[in-house]
Amino acid sequence: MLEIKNLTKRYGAKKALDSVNISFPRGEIVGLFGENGAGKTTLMKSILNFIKYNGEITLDGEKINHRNIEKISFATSEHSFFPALTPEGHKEFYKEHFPSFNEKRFRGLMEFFSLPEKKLRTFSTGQKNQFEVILALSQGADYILMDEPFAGNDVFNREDFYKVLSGILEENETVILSTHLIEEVSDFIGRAVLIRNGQVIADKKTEELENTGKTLISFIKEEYNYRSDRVGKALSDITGEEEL
Amino acid sequence: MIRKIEGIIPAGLSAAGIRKAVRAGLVISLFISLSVFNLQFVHDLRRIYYYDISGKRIIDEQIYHRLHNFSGYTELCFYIFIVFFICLAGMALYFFISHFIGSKSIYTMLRVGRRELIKRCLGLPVLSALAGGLTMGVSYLLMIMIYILFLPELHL
Repeated sequence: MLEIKNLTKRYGAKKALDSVNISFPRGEIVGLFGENGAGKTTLMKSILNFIKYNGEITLDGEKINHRNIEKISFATSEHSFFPALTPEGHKEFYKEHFPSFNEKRFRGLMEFFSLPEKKLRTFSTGQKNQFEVILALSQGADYILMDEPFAGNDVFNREDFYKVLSGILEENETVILSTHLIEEVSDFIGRAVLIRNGQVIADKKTEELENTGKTLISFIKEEYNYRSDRVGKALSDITGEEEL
Repeated sequence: MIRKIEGIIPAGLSAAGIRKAVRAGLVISLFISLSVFNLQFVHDLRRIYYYDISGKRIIDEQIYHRLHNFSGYTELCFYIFIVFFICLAGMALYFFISHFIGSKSIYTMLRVGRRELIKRCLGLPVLSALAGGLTMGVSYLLMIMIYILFLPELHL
């Protein structure tokens, strides 16, 4: 269980995260949603101990440190691979530093996406994203954090990913996926967490949503107090024409 | 050897290329330090005598005193090693910055552990600095040998 208690992170005067309390049991696929700057990336970076924060984050009751951080992997649109290393080189590096590295999964995913054996810096953006996710999935982690991993991938590519993810994840693996592609992931995730201004404003299982007859996107719009008329008003203000 | 170097530099950088660069740095430093020593020493050796109007060979007192002060010749010689050490500091900085170039591999390194990050940023520069120190020692010994072998017996 990944538990976050009273997590607060400030950047100067701005609170990027404000007393966040949330837990992630094993085996969940969680969608993390929120506008840009809501605090999704900061939350992930706090979990990974990349930044200093106030509050408590524990993994199976223990603070996250160099001993248990191997249980968490990370795929980011910023990419965390080594650009001058080949996939084979990455495999060796990960095998050396992450004892639970799943070589079989790595090979399988490499084959599935037909990624070439050349330096990562020569890959296309789509291939880089694919490789980033392959590494995160192959590390042998219990918690797989993904921060906008498909930014720059075409729709077919992303669809392939969701299918592969659904197919290969084991029961004890948890995926926390931060993305703006709400509709695309709606069938893939089991829980939706909404962040706004550094606070968790909603946390719902998709099953519950289905029971109420709401779609994920309508739920998010509702929680975000999305004003659908604002585009019409803005256009009307700009063009001087009456709203339709 | 290459495998060992690969373990103390950022993942993906060319161990062979870096080894070549360090080796070249050491050889160039040794060559320049010895050359500077020899240039000063040989220059003084050539000018130690002058001849007066009568044709009598006379020892130049100023050069004589300089020739008998070994440390005076070595002062300039080791500045090149300072340049070498500054380059190594630059190398360590580059190794760290390389984790932000082309991707944020720093995220992976932070997960692997800060100790590993430090090892991969400072490992080779520190070892190279030790090799630099050793080369300085070799250079100094060679200077002593040259000095002893070629310093003529001079009497004022």
